[in-house]
Amino acid sequence: MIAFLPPQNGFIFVALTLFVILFWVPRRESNSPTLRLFRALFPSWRFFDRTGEVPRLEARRAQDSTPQWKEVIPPRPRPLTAWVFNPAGNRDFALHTLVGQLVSDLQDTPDATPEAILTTVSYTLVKNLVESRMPMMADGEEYQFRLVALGPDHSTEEFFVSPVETKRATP
Amino acid sequence: MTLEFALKTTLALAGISNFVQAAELLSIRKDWSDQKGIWRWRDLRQEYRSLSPPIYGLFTLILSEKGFLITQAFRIVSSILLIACLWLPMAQHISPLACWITLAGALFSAIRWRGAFNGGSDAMNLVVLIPLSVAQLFGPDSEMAVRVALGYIALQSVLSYWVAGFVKIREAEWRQGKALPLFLATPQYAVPTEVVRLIQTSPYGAWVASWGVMLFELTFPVVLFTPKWAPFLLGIGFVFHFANAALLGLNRFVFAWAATYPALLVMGQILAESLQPFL
Repeated sequence: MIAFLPPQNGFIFVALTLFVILFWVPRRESNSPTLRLFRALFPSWRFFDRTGEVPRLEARRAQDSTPQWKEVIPPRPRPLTAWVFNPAGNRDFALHTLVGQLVSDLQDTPDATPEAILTTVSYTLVKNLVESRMPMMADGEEYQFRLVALGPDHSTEEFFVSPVETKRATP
Repeated sequence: MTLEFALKTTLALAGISNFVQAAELLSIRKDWSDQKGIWRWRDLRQEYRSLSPPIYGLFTLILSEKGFLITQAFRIVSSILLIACLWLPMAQHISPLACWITLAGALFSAIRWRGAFNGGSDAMNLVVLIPLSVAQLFGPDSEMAVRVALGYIALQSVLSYWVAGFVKIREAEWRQGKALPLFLATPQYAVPTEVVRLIQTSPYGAWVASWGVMLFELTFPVVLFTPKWAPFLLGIGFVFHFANAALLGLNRFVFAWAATYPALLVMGQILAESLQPFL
């Protein structure tokens, strides 16, 4: 068919073929942090393909007599205007992505010492998140957070507990 | 639809998309402030240290709080200019600069959030902005550059639907209508409880909705080969994205994907004209 088309339109079919071939090449997540910064340039379009466990971030104050784990990013009702302008909702999506990045870091380095995880950017950002979302927590107060795998059947399984952290003084 | 009108409309829709994205980022400034934010530059910057010193210096300038604030403010202004290009008489002189500033704002916001702030919508926004910006380098009269740019956008748009449909139909849970209720029940999407309950209690409805989504996505490439039906199919596409925005909160997808629709319309016309002598 390409031979019959005017040259300026033949490229469409060539490009389409190339894209389809590229799609069939198995994809691999890059382990390079620098390449990951530019991942928006390499779209995958694989939306909502597989169901499975999702990580949930929970935190508790260490000084409470009976410390209860509380969800750090609870679902919130959306205003009617959210279909146009949804800053809080999109921020929460980015926070869930951040939690997913910490999970990836944990999976990528299963043999790493705990100290190695604690110095990752993901861990530091999740600490910032917990400190900003824990109500009424004073500077210097101690807390912990954990990651729980939430199954499609609502089962939960804890798979990471942070050491006791101290809320840093805000500058 | 003429090629020129398709280009102007794409620029305007990309402008709307980027205006919304930049305004949303500015309205959550406290979350990325250097003082009390979650995504503080002083925490993020260690991931950028492997870059060469000049690039690291540039990123520090742009991605720290003040630099990022200025970048997004510029992105808002350039987005407004892209929208205004639909009516402005000197559009061809303004749009190249506005396009490149918008692209820089979009790219730096994806990089600052370690690759993407909002996954797919960031990617589609760049898919639209990159070829448009490059095409503008060839001058206002380069029909070929515009054709290639809009062709690339149309291809990626078609692929985005088809790939999304293909990866779903491969999964037994999607084919059985079980996956959709599970996704809608995922807490992070905060779908209204009435909707979750409704779809969980009607397996037949879930099955019909699942197959509706998959068939729509898989057959979407038809839009390029049926110019008469294209507006109708794109209308369904818009309703699909609107439903996703209302139910899942994916508002950015509405604008990012709508910006690809003029390219689909004009490429469908061009294909039909090219193939007509052989049909």
